[in-house]
Amino acid sequence: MRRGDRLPGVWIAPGAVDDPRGLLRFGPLGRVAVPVGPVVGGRGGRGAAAVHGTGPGGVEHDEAPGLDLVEAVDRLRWCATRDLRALVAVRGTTPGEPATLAGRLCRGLEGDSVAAVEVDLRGADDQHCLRVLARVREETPRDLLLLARLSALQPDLVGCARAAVAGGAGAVVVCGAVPLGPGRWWSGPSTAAVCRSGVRALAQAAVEQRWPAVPVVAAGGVHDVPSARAVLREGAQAVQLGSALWADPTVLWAVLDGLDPAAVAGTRTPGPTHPDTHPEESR
Amino acid sequence: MTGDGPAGPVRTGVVTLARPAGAFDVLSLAVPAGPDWATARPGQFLVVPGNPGRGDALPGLHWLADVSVDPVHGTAVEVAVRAGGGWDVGHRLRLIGPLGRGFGVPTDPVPALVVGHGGSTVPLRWLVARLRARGCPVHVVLSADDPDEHFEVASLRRLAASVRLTAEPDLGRVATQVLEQEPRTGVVYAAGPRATVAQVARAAVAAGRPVRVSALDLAEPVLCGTGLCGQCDLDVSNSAGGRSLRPCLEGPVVPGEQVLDAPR
Repeated sequence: MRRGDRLPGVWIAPGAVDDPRGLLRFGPLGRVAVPVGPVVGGRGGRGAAAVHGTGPGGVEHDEAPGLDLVEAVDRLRWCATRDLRALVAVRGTTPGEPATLAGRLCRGLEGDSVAAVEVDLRGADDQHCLRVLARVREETPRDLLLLARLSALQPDLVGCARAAVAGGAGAVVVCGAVPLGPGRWWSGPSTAAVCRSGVRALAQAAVEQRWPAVPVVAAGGVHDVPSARAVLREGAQAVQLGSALWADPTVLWAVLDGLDPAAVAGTRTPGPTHPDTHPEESR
Repeated sequence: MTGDGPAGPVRTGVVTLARPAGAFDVLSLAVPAGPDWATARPGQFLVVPGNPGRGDALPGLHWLADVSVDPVHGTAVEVAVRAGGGWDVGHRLRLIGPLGRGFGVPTDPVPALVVGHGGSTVPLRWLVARLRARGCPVHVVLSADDPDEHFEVASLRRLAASVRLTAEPDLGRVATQVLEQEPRTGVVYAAGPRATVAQVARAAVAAGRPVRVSALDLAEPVLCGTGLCGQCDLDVSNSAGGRSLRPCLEGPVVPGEQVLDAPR
């Protein structure tokens, strides 16, 4: 996927779905980028983030420990053999680490299956965003789409987004997860308003020309077609599904069909199992 | 369903019957016929998707207690839910399932030992019935934290050659006793919390018997059941190195040797 191409309307959050084999049981993944990562330097931990508890509208969880490079190459190979495109997420403790990881994955034999690279910059300041993205830009193919993952609760969201674009980001992911201390987050449908506030702030800043607007991906609280449309109305161009897939993996295809203009126009037959159109469900 | 939309085991079920069974309510669900019901096995489970819009961030997971496929009367599925769960007759719900790999039965009618603890014993009555249908004499060892959690012991007594009730810490010891008393026992099955099935697996391996265990404990609070969240992962180590086993995707029924030394 090249910078400037039309952004796909639906993405899958890399931290929430660390093994796409589970999703493939419920439908084809040809219309989405399969998440790989977050890829970290050194030895990765268990792929999945530990969940500490659940509550009304969300789950309290650790940051995903991430995959090491060897495991990430395996996942990319899995995508390549099935002709699937991958969204590689990278995270680092130094400005150069994400660039090194992204560069090695993009230059490898399976690099052709990398559709985009997402760099986790939640909690970073604007200078750090600029440095990291610029390094990743240097290490990856020239036109490859780079996404900067920022938190909607970041103190200077617009400044960070501006710096990320200056560093080479082609899209910004606004994450609604609420930080609960070092390495711990609250995610789920209850974070939808947080995510929308971040998207709204960026949309307003774009109108005021305070940052060179690039497409915004809303990640947080999207759990069905109406919640996806709500955040698109605020100014996002795409949505990212995460923990909503834990509750119901078929939400992915429901949102894909719900946001697909062909499905809306009636040229595609809508599926009967969409969660937001289940008249028979009484629970 | 769209051409490339959600495929697989998504369907709607209707509660047609509910009866109390100790700490559980056993529900019969009428479901649309499908080839995967005819091949369903004990140890497989159903996922009832959560409704994030109403605050349910996670789905509900339920063991299959029985499946009946009848071309005249339709397909009926039994599940056990906690008593008073609010699943009344006529209740309609979306289901994803049957998911997972269940317990297989031996090709020859060899004696079998079935061990289980608490709510994980829900599939065992069906397993014992299938073993009996194959001609296998079955010995059952059960434990539970609460006596009401012994699931359909009366039915098990009718089906099995013997049923022994014990405490969870003694399951491995009692299993060893049964294996010593029944030296022709050809296979061991276990379902329960991970530490419990590991205990039974150690006893079976020590006795030189093949063992199949359910490595998924539905009593754990956070599970997606569809292989996405990774909360059920087991760290499996062997001579080839360490790897992660995801029971809800690769199991839940796995060879007992895989859970012998799993730290979680």
